[in-house]
Amino acid sequence: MQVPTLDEIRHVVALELGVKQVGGDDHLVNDLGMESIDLVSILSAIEDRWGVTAQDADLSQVATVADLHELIGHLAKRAQ
Amino acid sequence: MSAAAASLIETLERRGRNGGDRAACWWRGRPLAWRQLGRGIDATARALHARGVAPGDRVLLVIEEGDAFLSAFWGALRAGAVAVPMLPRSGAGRLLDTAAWLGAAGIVADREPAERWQELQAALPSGGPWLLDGDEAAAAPAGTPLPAAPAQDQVAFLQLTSGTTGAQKAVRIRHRDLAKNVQQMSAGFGITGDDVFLSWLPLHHDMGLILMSMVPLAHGCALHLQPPGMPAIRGWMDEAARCGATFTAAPDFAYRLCLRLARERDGLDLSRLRVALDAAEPVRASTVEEFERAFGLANVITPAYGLAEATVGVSTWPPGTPIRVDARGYVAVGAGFPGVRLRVDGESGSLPAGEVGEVKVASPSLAAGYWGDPLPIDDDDHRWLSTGDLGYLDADGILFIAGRSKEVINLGGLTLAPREIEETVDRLPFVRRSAAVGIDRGRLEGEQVFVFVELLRGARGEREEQSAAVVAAFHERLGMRPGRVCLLESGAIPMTANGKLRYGELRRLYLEGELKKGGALLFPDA
Repeated sequence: MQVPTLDEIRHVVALELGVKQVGGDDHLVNDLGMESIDLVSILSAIEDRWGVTAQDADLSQVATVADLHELIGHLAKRAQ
Repeated sequence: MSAAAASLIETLERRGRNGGDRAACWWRGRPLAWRQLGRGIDATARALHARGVAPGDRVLLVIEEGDAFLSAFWGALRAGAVAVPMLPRSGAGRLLDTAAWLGAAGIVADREPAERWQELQAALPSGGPWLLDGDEAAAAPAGTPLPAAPAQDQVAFLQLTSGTTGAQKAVRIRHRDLAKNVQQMSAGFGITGDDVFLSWLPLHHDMGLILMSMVPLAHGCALHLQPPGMPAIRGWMDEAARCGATFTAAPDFAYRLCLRLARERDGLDLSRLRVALDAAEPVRASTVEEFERAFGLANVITPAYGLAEATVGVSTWPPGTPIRVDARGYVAVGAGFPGVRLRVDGESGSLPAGEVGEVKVASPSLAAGYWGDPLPIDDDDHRWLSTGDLGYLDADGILFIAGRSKEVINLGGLTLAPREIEETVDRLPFVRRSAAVGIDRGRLEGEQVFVFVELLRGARGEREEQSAAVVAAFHERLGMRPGRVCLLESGAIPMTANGKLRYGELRRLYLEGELKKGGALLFPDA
């Protein structure tokens, strides 16, 4: 399984939220205005593209774009 | 007569006079005393009356803070106006279109975002609908009289929703429909003044507004309100334990999401929680099972069914009893609240037990049709509402919901009209035609809005930028975002011979991967 890079995750987040610039340290809710429904659509986009399923993932520690990248990387390695 | 059966406004006014410093509700943890709410309702009613608002006049409410919303909503109703609660983050275009469509007398809106306020000010013609913030709407000149209270047969508010055909509709909900439905739901759930309600559902939408604020206000229950969103879902059960909640409610997806987001699961005292209602979206048995296991609950998640055309509540599974799931995974939602009759129809009339058809509902609290398409009020006892939902009744008369036949998008319990989304997207310069479809792939995210966009031949620009522009236009209009944007080749959206979008076929083409295989899907390519 391919593991997405931080740039790729930033890219997906920007695309799903319809914003131009997304930084790794951006806080998903406070900086990017993400709603609960947006998070699940981002996870769904990631699942479609890299096959990394977050269906059962613990999202409780995810606050920033970098946190999301770390979680996805962790899930991808676990699946390998 | 029980408190819930009397006019809700009278009940609220009485509590406003007698309730003193006792909290009518807590919004974000800060109390709104009955005395304050009573004053807010009274002042808003007088001020709107002074401004010339007459019985039946439509007033749009665009207010994010729950305590301010409740004062303005009940004040508008007390003035005899027809309130029109809007998504608080609706764009100026949506507000102006809705005001024009409903011939609104005015708009009560938040001043934030400032650009929206300025846009509204500039667009509203003098002599046309007025624009006020919540404070202005409650500023009655000294000596302004209190108008007569509205009659039970008057329309109280319009619930924006999507009809069965995918076009935007406004359901006419009368005062008596509210009183009756509150009474039915109170009986079905066994609500008493000792219940403690916790809700983060939007107050501008039926389940949050009627079930989760009118029911507790009518009974004088403790009511804890939070703004919707991730922090509320993350902290939902912590808050339930903290405030000793006995009753909470949300669509199915929120329970699934709460499982992933919650930081604390162990050591929470949820022993008082007796009903966590699961409604407004298809109920998944797996959600109920996982959530109850994770939080150590038993027979607390309660599947229920309702729709705006029936005011809100139609049926609930009996609280405190094990849920029932059939062999196909459909979850039972009960046999109807008191006074509700249920029927399932096929092409040629009523179907026998076990057969799936369209669910029809008769109830003393059916709403009075739609704006522009009212129903005669004396016909209530003989009316069967066609819900557009599919289901069956088992041999015991218990309803199982199996799907729907109407073109509606259900996004986390909010019904959105495909047509409104399509009209917004079709205005973009590179778009030939678009179709908005609700698609549920059975995963964590539940049903999402998929916007399929046919590009004009020869349209210039990067695909990614076009996709982002669709998201931005959607967000500007509705204050929320689509789940997915798919850019398609010109001519890829299936149509009937007379030019209607074939939503079901489009959904199938997407789910079976045929758009991608046939090369019609231009973006995203993965």
